[in-house]
Amino acid sequence: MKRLQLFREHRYVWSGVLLLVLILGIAILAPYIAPYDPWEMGIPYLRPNSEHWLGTNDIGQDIFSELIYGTRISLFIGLSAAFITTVIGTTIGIVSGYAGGKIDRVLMAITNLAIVIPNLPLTVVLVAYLKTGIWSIIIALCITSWAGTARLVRAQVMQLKQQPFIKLEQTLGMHSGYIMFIHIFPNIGNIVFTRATLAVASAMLSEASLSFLGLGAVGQKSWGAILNNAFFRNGVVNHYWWWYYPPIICICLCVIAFMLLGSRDTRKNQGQTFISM
Amino acid sequence: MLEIVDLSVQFRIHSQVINALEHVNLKIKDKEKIAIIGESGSGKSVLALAILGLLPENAIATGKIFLDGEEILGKNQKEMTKVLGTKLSYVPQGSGNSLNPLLKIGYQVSESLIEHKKITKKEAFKRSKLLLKRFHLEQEEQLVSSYPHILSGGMSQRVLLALGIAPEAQYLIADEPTKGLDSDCIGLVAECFRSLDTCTLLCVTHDLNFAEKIADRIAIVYAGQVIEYGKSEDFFKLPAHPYSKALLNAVPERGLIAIDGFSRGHQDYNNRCHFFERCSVRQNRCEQEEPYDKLEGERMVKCFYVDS
Repeated sequence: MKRLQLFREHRYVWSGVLLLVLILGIAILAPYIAPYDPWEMGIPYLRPNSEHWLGTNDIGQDIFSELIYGTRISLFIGLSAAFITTVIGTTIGIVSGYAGGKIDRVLMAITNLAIVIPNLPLTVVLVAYLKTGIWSIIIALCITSWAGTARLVRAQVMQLKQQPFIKLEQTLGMHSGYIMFIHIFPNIGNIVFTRATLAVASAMLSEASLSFLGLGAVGQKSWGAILNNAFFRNGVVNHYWWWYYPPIICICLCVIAFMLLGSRDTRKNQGQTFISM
Repeated sequence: MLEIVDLSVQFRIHSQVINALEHVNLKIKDKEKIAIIGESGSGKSVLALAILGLLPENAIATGKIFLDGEEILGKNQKEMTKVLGTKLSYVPQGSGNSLNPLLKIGYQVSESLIEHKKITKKEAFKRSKLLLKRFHLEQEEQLVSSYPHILSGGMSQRVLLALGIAPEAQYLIADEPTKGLDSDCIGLVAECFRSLDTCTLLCVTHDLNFAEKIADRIAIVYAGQVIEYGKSEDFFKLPAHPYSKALLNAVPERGLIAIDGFSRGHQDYNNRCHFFERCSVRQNRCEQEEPYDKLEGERMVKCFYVDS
C-alpha cells in the first residue's frame, strides 16, 4: 500500500521514468528492434505499408528504422551536453558563490558574457568552423549553456553560506574544497538535478534545430536529420506526413520525459533536504 | 594566553555605522575559564566571532587579538584553518540549522577528528560516541547514524557541545552553550567545562548561575563595552559596577528586580557613560565624559563612582 501511495504522490516523476526507460531501451536495443538497416537503400517514397511501417525516404531507406537508430544519437548528444553543462555550471556556481570577492567578480563577468551572447547563432557559427562530428555539436551546445545553471547555483550557495552549519565547519578548520563538496553540494542537489533534466531537454531541442539546419553530424541518423531530409527532399511539399511527423513526435516525447523527471515536488521531503524549489 | 587589545568592531549597514564593540581589552591566562556576561545585543557574540575570524563581511574590526603571541585578527580564512579545529575550537549557539541536515550526526561530530587528528573513520566514530554519551545522549548507536532533524533543541545543543570539544583544542570559545537545556543538563555542561583542565575557555552566556559554576573570571559587557572584569568570587560577593549590581539583583534568587529602562543598544553615546540613563548612582560627570577603565586590585571597573 505504501509503495502505491508513494507512486501516486510522485506520479509525474514515475511516468517520466517509465517513458525514459522505454526510450533508453529503444536506443540500446536499436539493432534488435529495427526491422531494417537504416542505411540500406530500396524503393524510394513508399507510403506506410505492412513491410515499411512508416514508408521509405527519397533513397528508399526505412523511416521507422531511421527513427529507432536516431534515438541513439539524439539521446547521446542530449545527455552528454547536459552532463558537461551541469558539471561546468555547478562548479563555477559553487566556487563563485562560496569564495566571493575577486574570484566571484571574475567568474560572474565571464558568466554574464556567456548569458548575453546569442546562443543559437554562436552554436551555428561554431559548428560550421569545428570539424564535423558528434563531439563538435556537443561542445558547441555546451559553450554558453552552463551560464544559467552557474547563476542559479551561485545564488543558492550564497544563501547557504550564511547558514550556521557552514560557519561551524569553518570554525572546525575544514578546508574550503571539503566544505564545498561535502556540505554545500548535497544541499543544492535538488536544484542541480532539476536544472540537469531541463538541460537535457534543451540540448536535444538545439541538436534537432542544428540538424534541421543541415549542421548536424554528417551521415548520422538523428531525429533532426530526418526532419532535414523531409524538408529539403520534398517530403513536406508533397505532404508525406509519415516522414516529418514521427521525428517531431519523438523529440516531443523525449523532452516531455525529461521535464516530467525534473518535475518532482521537493516540498514533499523537506525533512531531508534543506532548500526547496 | 589569549590577549585582546583595544578591539573595536563596527558594522556598516547601508550608510549607517553601528559600534558593536568598543575598545575591549581582555587578558585571559592559560587554563583560565572566563564567562562573558551581558544582555542580548550587547556584543558578546560578536566578541566570540571576532576571535574566530568569522565576522560578517560588513564588519570592520580594529585592534589586535593575540593567541599565544600570534596575531589572529585580520587573518584570512585560509590562514585561520591552521589554527581552527586544532588550537581553537567553537561551540555555537544552537539553532535550526546548526547541523547539516543532509549528513549523519556521527559523521559531523567525527569530521574534525578525521581531518586534524589523522585517525581512521572507525576510531573517530568510536570517540564521537563516547563524547555523545558524556552529554547524556542515550542510544548513541542509533544517534550517530541518524540525521539531525530527529534532534530536539536541547539535544542538538548537546551534539554541538560534543562537536566543539571533540578537537580537544587548547582554546575553546562557547557561545551560549546552555541555550535550551534543562537545569539538569546545564549542570552536566558545567561539570564538563570544569573538567577540561588544560583548556582555556571563553564562554558567552547570560545564565549567571552557570557562569558562577564554571568561571574563574567574569567579564560584564554592556552596550559594546566591557564594564567590569574580575575574579568570579569577587564579582558574586561584591559586584562593583552599578550595572553588575543591578544584574545580580535581577536573578530570581535575589528578588528578580528589573533594571529601570532598557539598553539603548549601539547608538552613538557622545562620550558619556553608556549606562547613564539607567544608573542609580549617576552624577553630572557621567554625562559629560566617558568613564575610563579603573583598576581596583585585580578588578577592572568602568565607572567613576565605585564604592569599594
